[in-house]
Amino acid sequence: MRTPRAVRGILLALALLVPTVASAQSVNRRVALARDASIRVFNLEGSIRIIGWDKDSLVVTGTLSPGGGKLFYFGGGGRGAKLGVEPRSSGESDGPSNLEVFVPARSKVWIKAATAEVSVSGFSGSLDVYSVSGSIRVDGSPAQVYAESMDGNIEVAGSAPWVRAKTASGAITITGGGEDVAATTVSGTMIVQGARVVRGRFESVTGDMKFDGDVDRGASLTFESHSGVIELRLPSSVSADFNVNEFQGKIVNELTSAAARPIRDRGGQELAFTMGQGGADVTIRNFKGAVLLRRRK
Amino acid sequence: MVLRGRLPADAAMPTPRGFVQDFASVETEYLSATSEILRAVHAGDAQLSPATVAILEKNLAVIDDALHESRDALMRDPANSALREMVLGSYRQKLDLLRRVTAGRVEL
Repeated sequence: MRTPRAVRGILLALALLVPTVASAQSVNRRVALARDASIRVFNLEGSIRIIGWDKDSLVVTGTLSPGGGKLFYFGGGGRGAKLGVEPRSSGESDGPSNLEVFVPARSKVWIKAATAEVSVSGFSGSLDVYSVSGSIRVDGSPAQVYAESMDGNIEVAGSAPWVRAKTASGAITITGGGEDVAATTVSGTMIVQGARVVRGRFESVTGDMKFDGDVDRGASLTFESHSGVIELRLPSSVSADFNVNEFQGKIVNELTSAAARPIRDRGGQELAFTMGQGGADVTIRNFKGAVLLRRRK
Repeated sequence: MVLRGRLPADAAMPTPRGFVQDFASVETEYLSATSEILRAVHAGDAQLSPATVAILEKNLAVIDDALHESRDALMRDPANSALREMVLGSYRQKLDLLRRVTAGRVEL
């Protein structure tokens, strides 16, 4: 049986159309911007890669989800710009879009994601990242990092002087320096490694915390948990005053010979001692998780 | 929206004898603020996705468990300032989590 010409024509048109509709679309847009411009990036699914560069312009390249082309927006110039993939009003997913955004290195960047993975490199400006369950990784030396993810992991690797990291169940890893660092998690693990923190506050509810770094003279570090293990690994050269308050858990002190003292009238234990000349404050509070003070080998 | 039963439990927190007045008033502030946000979440005003609500529920349960434990300990030892700090720290975490989730609405 022969197919009528009109039907063949329709089939051919459909065959040509389908790949265009179903395949990802590429994006390549640019705009001139001030070096300290404010930039907002929005992409719920896929990935957002921010790269700081030494130019007065913003460039975005990447691939958009099949339907994302209609929802992609890009605008601004001079002091500010915004770009992203707008979600459908119905809330339906369009699939992942992957954006690579080159920004002036000292600009202010605000990022919103849901499951999208966010990575930042070569950036020295101010950074705010909000995610639901996507991971966030920041390399380099931004002036400020504020990162929140509910369920995703946050990793700050580099030397940001000011860091705020918050998760619900995502892990937080901070490697490298940071003068003023605060990290909060409910149930995620927290690792602070190789950092020289001057003012630090680290809090969890059930998440374990591990601090493996130096304590500079004059530093002030506070660790607080309900039931997470708090482990500090410190060099023997540390000069600091330690104050540990534990209500139901155990205290292991391998830094000095000082032993925890039971508190007779209310239960729990206290441990206070000075290493070296003192001069830095290390305060630890735990309700029932262990406190482990280890010497770095 | 599930977020089961936390609102009445929070609102009904008994204040033990001997509690420092400052603490009691700060606790009341926390309870009022968290209740207000939870009410908005219950009402669907926060427009949270089911996945976000699931994460929120899981973590609120973790915080509430911790709060009840540390608060029980504080009721037995109301003058313990370190315990007071821990309880307030848990309230702070709870309020912060709720604020983060509800403030995380899409802004374009």
